[in-house]
Amino acid sequence: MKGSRFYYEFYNPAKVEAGIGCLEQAAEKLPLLGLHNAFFVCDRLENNDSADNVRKAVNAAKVRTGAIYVCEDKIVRLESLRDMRDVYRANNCDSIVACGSYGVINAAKTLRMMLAGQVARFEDAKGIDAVRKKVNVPLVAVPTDVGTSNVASDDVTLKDDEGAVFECVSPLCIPDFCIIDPKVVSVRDADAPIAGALESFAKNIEEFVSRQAVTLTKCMNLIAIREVRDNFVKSADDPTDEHAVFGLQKAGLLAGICYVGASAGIAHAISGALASVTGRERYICTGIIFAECMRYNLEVAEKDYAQAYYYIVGDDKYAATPAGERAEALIAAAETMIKEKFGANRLATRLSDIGADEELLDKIVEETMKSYALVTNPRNVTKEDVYAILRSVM
Amino acid sequence: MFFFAKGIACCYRYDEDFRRYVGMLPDNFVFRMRVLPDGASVTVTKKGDGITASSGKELTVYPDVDVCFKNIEGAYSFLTGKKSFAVCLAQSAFVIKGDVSGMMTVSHMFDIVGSYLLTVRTLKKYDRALLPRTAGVHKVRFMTVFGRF
Amino acid sequence: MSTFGFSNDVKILCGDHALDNLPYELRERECTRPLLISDERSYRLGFVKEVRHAMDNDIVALGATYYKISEKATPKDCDDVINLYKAHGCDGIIALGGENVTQCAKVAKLMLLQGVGDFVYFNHKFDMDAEKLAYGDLPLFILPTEIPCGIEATDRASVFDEKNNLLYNFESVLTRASAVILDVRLTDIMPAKAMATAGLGALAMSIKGFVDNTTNPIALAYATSAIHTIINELLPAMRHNSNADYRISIYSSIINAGIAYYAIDESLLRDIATELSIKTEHSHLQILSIMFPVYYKEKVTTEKPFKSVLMPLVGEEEYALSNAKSREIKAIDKIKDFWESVVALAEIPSRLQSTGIEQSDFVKLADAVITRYRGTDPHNNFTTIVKLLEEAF
Repeated sequence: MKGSRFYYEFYNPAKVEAGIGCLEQAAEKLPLLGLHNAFFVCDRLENNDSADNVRKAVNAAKVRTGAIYVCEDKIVRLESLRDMRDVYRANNCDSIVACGSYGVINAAKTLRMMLAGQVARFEDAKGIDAVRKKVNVPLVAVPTDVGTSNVASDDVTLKDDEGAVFECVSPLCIPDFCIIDPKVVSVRDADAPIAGALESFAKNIEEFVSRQAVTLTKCMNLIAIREVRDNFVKSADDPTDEHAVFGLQKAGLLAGICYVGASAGIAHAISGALASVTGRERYICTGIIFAECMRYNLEVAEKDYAQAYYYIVGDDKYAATPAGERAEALIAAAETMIKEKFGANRLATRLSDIGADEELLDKIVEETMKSYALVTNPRNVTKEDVYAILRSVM
Repeated sequence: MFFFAKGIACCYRYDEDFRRYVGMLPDNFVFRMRVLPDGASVTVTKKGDGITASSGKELTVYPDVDVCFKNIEGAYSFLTGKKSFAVCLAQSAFVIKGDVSGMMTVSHMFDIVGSYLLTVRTLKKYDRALLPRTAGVHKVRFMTVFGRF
Repeated sequence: MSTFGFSNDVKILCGDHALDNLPYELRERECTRPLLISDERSYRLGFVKEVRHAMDNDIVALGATYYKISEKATPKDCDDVINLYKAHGCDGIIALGGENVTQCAKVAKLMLLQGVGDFVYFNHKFDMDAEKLAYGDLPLFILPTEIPCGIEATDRASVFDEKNNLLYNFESVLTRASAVILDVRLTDIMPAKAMATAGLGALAMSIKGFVDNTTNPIALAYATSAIHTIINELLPAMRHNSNADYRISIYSSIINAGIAYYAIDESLLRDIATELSIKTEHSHLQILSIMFPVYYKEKVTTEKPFKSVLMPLVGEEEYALSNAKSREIKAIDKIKDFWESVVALAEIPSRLQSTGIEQSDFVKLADAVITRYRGTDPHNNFTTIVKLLEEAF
C-alpha cells in the first residue's frame, strides 16, 4: 500500500450571519449564545451611529449592556487590555460585544482569549494555541469597516508595555458570532473601500498560494477574489453602495476564515512590520509592497497566479491572454489597480512617501523576519530577499 | 532529542550563520522543545556569548519559547528530517507557548541544524531547503555523535 | 436579498497520522475517559486496536469499549451506548466505523446532552432549536473507517426503527461532532465499486450544495472544493485504489460535500433519496449516485445558477472558452459523461430497478416524498417526482 504524507487540519467555529440589514434579526439569537450582561467595546462614543445601532439591537434582544469601553488603539496595548479586564470584572459582565474596526475587534478577541482561558498574565497567552478554554465567554463581533478579515481569523497582534509587537494565535480568538451587515459600516469616505478591497485582495491571494492552502481554502479565496473584482470599483466610486460594501465584507470574511487554515505570506509579514515601524495604516503599507511581493513569489506560484487571474478579469480577457503570461498579467493588473486607486486618492505608492528611509530598513527587516506568516509563504524567505523587496519600492 | 541537542551545540561551534541567528536572541533566552503530555525534551539556553543545549525529561526551567509537539509521531517526523520545522508548524504538529518572533529565529536555526545532520538525499526527498554549509559536514556530524559538550 | 448564515465548528483532521492527534484533542476538551463505540467489522479489521494503541498514555484512557452497533443504527443501539456511557462514568464518545456508528454516536450524544435515557420518551421531548449553551457540550470524535457518508461534520443524524418501520431524523447542533479524524491507517483499500458509488453520491451532494448555496459563499466553497476534487480524483482513486492520497482526498471531499448539501434547508433530491433508501435499504449515497444525472437533466431549467457549475467541473480554461449561453447544457453533458465513465469503469448499478424497487411502488413513494418535502417550489410536485423515478428506473 502506498503511504501518504498529506495532512491538514481545518477548523473555524465562527457562526456567521450576514446580510444587508440583518443586524436586528441576528441579534435576536444572542441570548441563545449565553449573552445576558454584555461588555460592549467600540472605537468612539460620540457620533457613532453604528455602535448605537448595534447596542440598541443587542438591548432589544434582552441583553443588557454591562459596561461600555472605548478602545482607540490601532494595535492593542496590554495597558488597554488590563483596563478592559478590570472594567469587565467590575461590572460582572458575562460576554463581549465588539463593534468597530480592526483595533476594536482585535482588542475584544484578545480579551476573550484571556478571560475564557483564565490567563492571569497577558504574557502567558503568547504563542500558537497556547491557551486552553476553561470558561465560556461568548464573543460577538460586528465589524464597521469594509474588509475586516480579522473578524473570523484566529490571530491577534498586540503591543507590550515596552512597545514591542507580538502575535498570538488561538482558536479562542475566533468570535462565536460574526454579524456582517453593511448598514453598520460607519466609514464612508473614499479610502475605506480601497483599504477593504486591498486588504482582502492581498490576503486572499497570499492565502491562495500559501504552503498550507488546501482545496477548500483555495476555493474560498477564489470566491473572495471574485467578490473584490465585482465590488471594488463600484464601492470606490460610491462608498454608500451597500451591495458593493457587502461584497467586500464577504471577501474579508472569507479571507479571515481561510487565514485559520492557510495563514498568509511575505506581504502580510512586511506590511505588518511597516505599519508597526512607521505607524501608518496597514493597507497603505500593503499597497506599496504587494505587487513586488507577488513578483517575488512568482517563480513558485505561477500556476496559482494564472488561475487567480481568471477571477480578476473574467472570461474574455482570460481566454485572450496566453497561458504563460497570465501570472504576470495578474501582477500587472494588481499593480495597475493599486496605482490608479491609490494615485487618485493621493495615497502613498513608495516607501519614501510614508517616511520609511534607508535608516529604518534594518528595523523593518528585523520585524518582518519575526512574523509567523513567513512560515507559510511559498518561497523560503531570507533577510536579503526582504531587503531587495523593500529597496525596489523605496 | 539527545542528538538534536548535541547537533545544536555543534552548529553553534562551527557554523557562522547559526551564530548570527543566536546573536539575534536576547541574553538568557531559553528555548525548549518537548513532546506532550510529558515526553522527552531538549532545552537550549543562550548565556552571554555561548549556548547550552541539554536533553531529558526534567522541566525545571521557564522557557521563553516552548514548542510542544502534540504527539511523538510529530516529533519523530521533525527529528528524522521528514518534515521541516515550517511544515510541522503549517500542519499544526505542535503548539507554541511564548514569543512567536523568537520561535521564528529558532526555526531558521533548526533549518541549519537539519542541513548538517541530514543527507542531501534526505533533504531533497522531503523537499527541504538546501542551505549553504559554512562548516565541514563530516566534522559536525562526527562531533554530534562523539563530541562532548 | 443575499442574506446568509453559516455555522460549522467541527474540526477536521485529515491525512497522514491524523489519529495520533486524538489524545491531544481529547485532553484539550478535558475528556479523559472516552467511550469507544464501533461495529464488528471495524473490530475484526483491527481498527479498534489501532485506536487503543493511539490512546496508550496515562492521562487519557478508554473508559469502555462497545463494538456491537448493528448494520443500521437503531434506537436499541443508542440506548445501549447511553447505558454503557453512564455505567462506566465516561466523559466523551469516540465513534469508529461506518455510517451506522456515526449515526448512533450522534444521536446518543444528543440524548445524553438532553438528559434522556429512553429513546421512545426522548423522541417526544426532542427540541429542534436546542442550542449548545442550554445543554453544554460532550466531546464526540468521529473516525470513519469506511467511506464517509457525508453527515459526519453536519448537524444531521438519523436512526431507523425496524420494528415500527420508522426513520427518526434529527437536526440539531447537539449532534455535531467535536472533530472528524480521517486517518489513512483507519481506511482500508476500498473496492472500485464502493468508491465509485460514494464518489458519485458525493458529486450529487456537492452539485446540489453548489446550486442551492449561491448566496452563501462559505457553503459554496465547500461545494466547489468537493466537485473539483471528485471530478479530478475519483477515476484515479478507482484505478489505483491502494493509493492513500487519492483515497483520503475523496473521503475528505465527501465530508465537504455533506457540509454543503446539509446546509440547504429543503431539497427534493434529498427527500427522494431518503425515501428510496428507507424503501430499498440502500444508502443515501447509493441512491444519489443513481438518481442525480436524471434529476439534473430534468431540473436544469428550474435550477437557475446551474451554468456556474461548469466552472468546477471543467476548470477556468475551458469555462472561459465556452459559449456563455450553452454552459448549462455543457455542464449537464459533462456530468453525464463523467457519470457514464465512472459507471462503466466500476460496473455499478445505474438504474433504480437494480435496487429492487418496483414501478408499482412509485405512487406510494411519491406520496411519501411530497409529505416529507417542506419546500415551496411549485415545480416540485407529485407528477415531477413520479417522472423522475420513471426516468431513473
